[in-house]
Amino acid sequence: MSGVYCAELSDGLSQEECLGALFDALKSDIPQDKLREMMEAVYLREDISSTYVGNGLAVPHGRVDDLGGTYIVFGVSKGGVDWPSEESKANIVALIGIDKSEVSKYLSILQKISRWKKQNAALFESCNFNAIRESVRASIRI
Amino acid sequence: MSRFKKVLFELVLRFRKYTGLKGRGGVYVYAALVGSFSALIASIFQKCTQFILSILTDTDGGHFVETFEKIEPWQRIFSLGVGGAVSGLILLFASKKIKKKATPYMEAVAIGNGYIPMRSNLLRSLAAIVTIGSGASIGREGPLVQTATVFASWFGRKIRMPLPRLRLFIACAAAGGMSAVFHTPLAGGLFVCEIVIGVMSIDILAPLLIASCSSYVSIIAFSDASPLYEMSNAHLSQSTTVALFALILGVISSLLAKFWLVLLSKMREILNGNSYLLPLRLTLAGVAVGCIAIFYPEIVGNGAHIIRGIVSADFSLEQVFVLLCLKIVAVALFFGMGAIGGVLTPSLTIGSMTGFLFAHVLIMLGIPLSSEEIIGFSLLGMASFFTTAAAAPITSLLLVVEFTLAGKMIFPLTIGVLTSYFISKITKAKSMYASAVSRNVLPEFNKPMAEVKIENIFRRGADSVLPSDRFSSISKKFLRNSDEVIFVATKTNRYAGAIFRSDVIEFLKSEYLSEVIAEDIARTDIPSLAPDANILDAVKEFSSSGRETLPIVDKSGKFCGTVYKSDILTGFSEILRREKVAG
Repeated sequence: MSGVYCAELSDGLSQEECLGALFDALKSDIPQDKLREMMEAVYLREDISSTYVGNGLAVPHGRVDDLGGTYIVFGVSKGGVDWPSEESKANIVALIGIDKSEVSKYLSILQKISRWKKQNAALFESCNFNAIRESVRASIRI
Repeated sequence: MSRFKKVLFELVLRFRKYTGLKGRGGVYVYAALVGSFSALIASIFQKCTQFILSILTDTDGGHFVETFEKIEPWQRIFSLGVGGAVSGLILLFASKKIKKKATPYMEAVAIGNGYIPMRSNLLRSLAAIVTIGSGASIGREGPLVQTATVFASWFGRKIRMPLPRLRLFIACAAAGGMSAVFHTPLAGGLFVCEIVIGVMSIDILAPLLIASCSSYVSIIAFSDASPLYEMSNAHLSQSTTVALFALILGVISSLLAKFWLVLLSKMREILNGNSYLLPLRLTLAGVAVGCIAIFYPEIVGNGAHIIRGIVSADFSLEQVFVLLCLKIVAVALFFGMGAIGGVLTPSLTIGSMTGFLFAHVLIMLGIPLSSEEIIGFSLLGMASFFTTAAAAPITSLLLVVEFTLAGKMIFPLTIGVLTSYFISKITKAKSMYASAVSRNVLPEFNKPMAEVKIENIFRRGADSVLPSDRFSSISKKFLRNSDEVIFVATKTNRYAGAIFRSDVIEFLKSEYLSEVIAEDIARTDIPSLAPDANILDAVKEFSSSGRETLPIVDKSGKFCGTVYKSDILTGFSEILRREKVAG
């Protein structure tokens, strides 16, 4: 099982609330224990260094043993989420859940997202959820 | 001076770090360098022996036998006697005044710790130069190779090579030396692999061959590198009769080689006693051989002249028979009295004479043989004799083929060599190199296999990256080195995973991954080994993981270093050799 999802986020969410909303989108796909592991991995990763990559995009990710698939949830927030501070406000947060052994796949996904960001600068400015969802469907495939 | 040395080695260490020479690929670079260096040593050694010869005989030097033919009888005795006395005094000085005893390079590579003391060994090399330069009936390959390995050991230890690599580095120096002496790039590497290390593996053989080829190239560049004893006209037909004769000659050569080995061993046992008498003993040996050289100057030197004489049909049957007996006596005398020198070329000489005599016996029995076939049997005798003498069938075969260019004789040579090897097993012949590779087994390996620990083998101080290090710096490391893996450790040196080249190779030049850090791509699904794990556990882990490198992590999670599969292989060869030695 793998999947790419999009979720519209309400304004004014904190980083934690944003991540909670994105994890909710994966509840039906990932077993509870693995989802918990993934959450822990995501927070640990943010502790090492922020996953904000610039231009309103953050790519938090959790690498988990035997996850059983690859999942991406794009969260779109018009007002932006402090990632973690105001200077690095993320309008699009792409949460990635991936098996720990799938390093090449992880890098490939990250490369696709970065390229997509570069080619769709206007989308990041408008933050139009429907347009972003269509663009993600067309460009980001696992 | 010490400050200059410190700065120099610091520069070497930095160069090594930034050029990736510490990685697996580095061994090939070192092999090539040390091979060329060995060729240089060989050249200097040769010049020194020629210098000694010219002083002692008051001539311009040149070939030993030709020089001895030119000089007066008393000069022959004088040269060998004085040479023996001087080299004896040097050896006496080395044994009494230098604390650290000389270590044969074979021991340092095969079972030692890679340490070859500089002073005592260089003094022995000096003694060998004087002995050989005086015309002693002994080969130069042994001391020459020893000299090259002394410097290799010193350099390797200075730049803190881990033990397995240090030994391989010394072995490469030896291979380079052999190649330079015999002009045999292939057999030079094989000699060290088969005889000294005792295990044929591409991980070991490849650097050895690189070293011997590099040495050969250096010889080509600076001097004459033509085959030593070209016998491309040697011929033995591919028939069942020749196969039968090869078989018989294999048996005879092997039995004679067994006798030769016993003789050398007994002579050393009987004659090599009180070290204070060493100068006197070597003087006596020199005088005795000098007296023989008055009538048979052919016995001076390592025997190369006799081999060339056989090839060009310079000797009669009677002459060869007499020379064979005298050569055996002369070499055994020098060797027994404690002279420093090689017995490889003398062994080849005795072997070739055996083959020559065998061919003439066949003629006496009414079997017609052409001159090419007589040379062919001489070659066959040479290879078969050396097989038992060195317990090295593959090296014998290739050595003889390579320095005679008699490749078309491979079929009878193979039969002779294999027969000789078979007979040597039956007669339990102990190779002339056995003592060098069986003394002072390294204590770490002198125990049951299951008790040999990884801590004796692994490489300490391996390079690692921090979990927060950026992908760009990791990419640089992969692009600069050929390492399969980079390990990740925290600031407190706790192991945090491994980044594999295979996982990231297609992204190394990507412009989109600048925010990726080591933690994002490190894997923790590969096994690690504890320093106190035994060598068998390591084999299991390498086998199940299919990896070439594994991390060493102690019980507290501290990253201690790395171990390569080739290191384990070297460790195994160590243990196998020890078990072979133990019988």
